[in-house]
Amino acid sequence: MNPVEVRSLSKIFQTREGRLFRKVSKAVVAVDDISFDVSEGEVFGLLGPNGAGKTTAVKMLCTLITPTSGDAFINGYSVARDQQKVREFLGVMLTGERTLYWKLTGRENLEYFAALYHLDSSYWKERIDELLEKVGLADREGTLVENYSTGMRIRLSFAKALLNDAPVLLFDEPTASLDPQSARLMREYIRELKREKHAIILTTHNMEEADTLSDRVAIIDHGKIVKLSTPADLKEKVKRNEVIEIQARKFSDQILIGLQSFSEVSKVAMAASDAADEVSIRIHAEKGKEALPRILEFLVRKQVSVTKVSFIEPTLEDVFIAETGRSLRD
Amino acid sequence: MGSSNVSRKRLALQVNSQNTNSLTKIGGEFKAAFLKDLRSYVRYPAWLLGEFISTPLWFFFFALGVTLFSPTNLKKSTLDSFNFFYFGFIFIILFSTAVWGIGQSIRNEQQAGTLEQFFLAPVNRVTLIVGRWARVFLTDVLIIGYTTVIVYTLGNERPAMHNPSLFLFSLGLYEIGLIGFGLFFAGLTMRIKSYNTLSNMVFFGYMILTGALFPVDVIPIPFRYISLAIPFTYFIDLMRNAALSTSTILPASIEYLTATILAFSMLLIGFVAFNKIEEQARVKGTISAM
Amino acid sequence: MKHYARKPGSFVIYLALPFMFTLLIFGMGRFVSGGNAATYFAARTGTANILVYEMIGSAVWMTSWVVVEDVGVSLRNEQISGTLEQNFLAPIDRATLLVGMSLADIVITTVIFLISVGVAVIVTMPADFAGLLQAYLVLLVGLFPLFGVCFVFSGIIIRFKEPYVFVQIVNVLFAVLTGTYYPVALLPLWVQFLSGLLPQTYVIEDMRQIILANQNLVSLYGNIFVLVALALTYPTVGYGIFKRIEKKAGVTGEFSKY
Repeated sequence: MNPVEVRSLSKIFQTREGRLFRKVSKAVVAVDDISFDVSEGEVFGLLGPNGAGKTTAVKMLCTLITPTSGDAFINGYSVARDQQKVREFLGVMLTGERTLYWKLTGRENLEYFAALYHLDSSYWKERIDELLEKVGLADREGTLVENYSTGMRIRLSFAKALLNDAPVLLFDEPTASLDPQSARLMREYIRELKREKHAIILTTHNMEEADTLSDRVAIIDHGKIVKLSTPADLKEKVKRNEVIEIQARKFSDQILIGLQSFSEVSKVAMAASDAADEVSIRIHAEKGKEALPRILEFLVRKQVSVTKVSFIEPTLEDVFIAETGRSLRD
Repeated sequence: MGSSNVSRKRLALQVNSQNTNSLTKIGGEFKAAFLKDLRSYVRYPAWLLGEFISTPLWFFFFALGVTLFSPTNLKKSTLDSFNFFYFGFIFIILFSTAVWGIGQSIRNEQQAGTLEQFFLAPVNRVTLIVGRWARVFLTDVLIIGYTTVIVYTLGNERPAMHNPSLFLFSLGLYEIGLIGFGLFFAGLTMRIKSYNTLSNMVFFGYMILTGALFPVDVIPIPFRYISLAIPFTYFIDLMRNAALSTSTILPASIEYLTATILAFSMLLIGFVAFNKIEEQARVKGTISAM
Repeated sequence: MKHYARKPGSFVIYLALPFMFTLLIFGMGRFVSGGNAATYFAARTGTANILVYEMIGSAVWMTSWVVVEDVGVSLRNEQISGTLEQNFLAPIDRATLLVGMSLADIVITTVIFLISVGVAVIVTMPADFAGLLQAYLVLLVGLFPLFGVCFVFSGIIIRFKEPYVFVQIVNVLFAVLTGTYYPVALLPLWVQFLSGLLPQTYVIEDMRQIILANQNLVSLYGNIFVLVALALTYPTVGYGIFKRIEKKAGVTGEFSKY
């Protein structure tokens, strides 16, 4: 039995849309029949753009949302039927810094949550000391959380998730609000937890993070898992194509359609670039080097202003593009 | 679970560290919720200051308003009225605990962003809410005591209390009913957005219809039937009977029995309603929605 | 205004509260004095029209409640949701922000006046639309010094974070000090001095004099003069105090705390 087993999990929300007296019921499929297992000591990444269904999936696993159909098992307990038991075997870190009580100190927050997890008071003092030391907050344990920086609050949330030393850990975008150094430290903590044989589910829309941290990645789009494998395996499949990245100005959707008509091109995706007025276009093409001159000629004819052209190693973003035809940043 | 050494060690830690005895579990949850709320409360000095300033002022506000309708010379009946109002005032403070103390607890957690954490933990939510009630009740007792000292010192009188034991028993029934009522309201905050509007309507309905500030006899006949259908009318009537020897609506023993049944029924209904609403919120995914 | 459109319940409460409070006070009075309640009331106030007398106090109190709560609670909600910082980042005069919040209250005030005082007068007295209009003007003028009080209140909210408590304190202070349900003359002298600092004291007194004692804006020139003076000075002073608190809040980082 694996610590996490997900079987055909789905969630459909019923919403009412429209004007005041003419509202119509609409079903929104947030998660559509997903299945996967996570074994002990594995980091399982859920990668997808905003609105893909990652957070809904995580919330079903931690019992905040009841599934519409299917089930998931945390340490053998069903998220639909054994919710209290499931919570005992989970450590959860949700997005955002406002998951703590701002008028309590760092230590008081951990003590409160330790009580909620029914940890014995003789044990929790030692555990809290250990965790505060681990996340580098031992010298600020007596400070009110309202006076913590964002990074400190996130580290405290992380410590909170580890209080009960649960076999299964869920991290929802753990590095989202962190500076690069803090994010790097957070990833190091996660690697350590992996070595300690926790089963870890990590949601992120940061492809580098998913690539470097995860043993396996599930790419999720519109509520469905479109691809599930190791990062290397996923990228290997894309490597059959060459990936051309073009930075350009005066680009339009019509030109995108035009590029897709090239026989060598399998997928094209456009996303905003870091530079103003520029877009970044990724073209997956078989024999890309041979196709490049004709592609550039086409762009020049369309009066596109090309600023940079490069061949790049495929990343998980390219895997996403290959599967969905869209950029992760869309 | 797996068979590795790390897993066995982790399991051992869990078994040794987690309280498996139910009463200990519940006691721990209650204490944690109480302490958390108490600490937060004293660290918002505005709350302390506000309640201690405004509570006596509300009493004087109503008392002065009623003065316009009073004879110019003081009589015993005036003092009896004063005692009547003052106890009514206490009942109102305790009722506001249910509506805004317990009832708002979910809304407060929502606004602070900690509601999801509240629901992620393997705890009985009701225990946490009752832990909060305990803190609010404690501060209410302090505020009532302090206000009583001010009011009766200014009036140069001793507070009336005919039968303290019966009063405490009736107060106990009242609080049990209030907790049930508060749980129901806490559940409602997960369903409705205009919580404040409903709270205000219920609060004023309580003040006008339950005999808190004037006897039910003063209320015109059709509305009086509504009053007699409200459980709080009987709790208040019994507490007042114990404190001031006023007559009861029903024969005393029947009224005590009725009030006891009502109190525990309200507690059960509140508990069930809260759990049902929570379950629905999970299905709709609205636990953290505001 | 969008707030009231999306949460009509708040609006309903503001309309219902004047009636509920009046009913409560009258019920308590009836309990104390039974059939003689009205007689004692007339002896103390000079009028037998309990409903209009109390409704005037209720309506004025309710308008101040609306203004105070709107400013205090909306700022607090902005603080909690994190948009307060965004508002204060914008290159606009803070006065515009605060006054914008307050101006919608003129509409609410008008509706409260019409529903509570207007209805009470029409039902119990010969119609005196000129008197009602003058009373309404007094009410409107009284809003401006109230805005000044609320500017100070906004600053306090930014600093202390808990508007509901402060709203409660301010509401009950206004109720006690401004003669909402009784003449201010019933209060001790030193308390009457404090009452004299509040614009609503003059508003309530003048409205009662106009509607119940057949006075008008000219005969009440003394009180009107004081009210206008308050309307000119309070907003300025209040805004000045708010700016000082805002400056301090910027130093201590209060905008992003909640």
